[in-house]
Amino acid sequence: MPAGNVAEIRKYLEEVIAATNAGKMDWAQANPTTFFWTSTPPRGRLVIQRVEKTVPRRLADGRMIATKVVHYVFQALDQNGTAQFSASGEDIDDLNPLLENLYGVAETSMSRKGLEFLKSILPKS
Amino acid sequence: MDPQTEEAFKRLDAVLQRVLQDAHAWNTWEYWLALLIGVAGLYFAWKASREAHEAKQAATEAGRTVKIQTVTIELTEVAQKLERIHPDIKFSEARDLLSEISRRVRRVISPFEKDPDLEGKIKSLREALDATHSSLSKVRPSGQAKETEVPQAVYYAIESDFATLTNVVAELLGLFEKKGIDFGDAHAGR
Repeated sequence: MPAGNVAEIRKYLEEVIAATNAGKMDWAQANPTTFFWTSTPPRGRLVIQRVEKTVPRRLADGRMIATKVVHYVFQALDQNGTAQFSASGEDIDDLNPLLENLYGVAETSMSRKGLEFLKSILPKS
Repeated sequence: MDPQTEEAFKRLDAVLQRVLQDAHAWNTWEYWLALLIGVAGLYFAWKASREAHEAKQAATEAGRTVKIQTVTIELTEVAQKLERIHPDIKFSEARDLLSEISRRVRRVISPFEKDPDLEGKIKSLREALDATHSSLSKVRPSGQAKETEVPQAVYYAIESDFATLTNVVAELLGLFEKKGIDFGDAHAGR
């Protein structure tokens, strides 16, 4: 991917993180490691997923051990569920910390929603 | 000498005569015939025992060859199944595929766990299966509707684990094929 495009993606991701932190984007959880946000009206979806890989690594003494590596995958889907844009922290190393940040704020957003629901059903003191 | 003692001496004398006659039995052709029959009997008994032992060994080796061939066929089928993973794979589809692969692989490799040529690769295969199960559990959908919202999540989660499984199965398959060839060569050399 050209460097100019990476810079543009970074800009959009930072906007998404800011909007989520401001409570303007409510994320939902599809499974334990994937969050998604659907636009209103529903024209598309954003998906952020945490992917864990086990890769072999050679130690100094020549032994091989299995090491866990984490990267994040970001996708923009159209309303038919077709991926129109996809970026992986595995392919673009520079993007991985930002994607990790986005995953974190999406997770916090979900958790905040859960806490708000819990608060809403508790008896008022 | 009293009659009883005289009778005892006569009996003793008769016994001694018979013993002396038997001691010279090797001079007779009956003795040599009986000896020949005895030796021949011993030889045929030894020969029959040896042939029975060899037949048992051959049957065991034939069984082992068949077992190695069965494992090779089974692992080839598993390798083909591992290639069935596609980007739109659903969680339930991946779970069923992994269960079948796991069951078949564990069944065929378990008799060879202590084999020094294979134990390292078998350990790697078990670890790869466990890692794939773990990765798949991390994309268990919160609800069926939500699975369709993130169409490629399952694929992203298990893609690299399936690639590892494919590689380890291919390596193990190679080792079993080599074992089959080595075994055939050793058997043919006899």
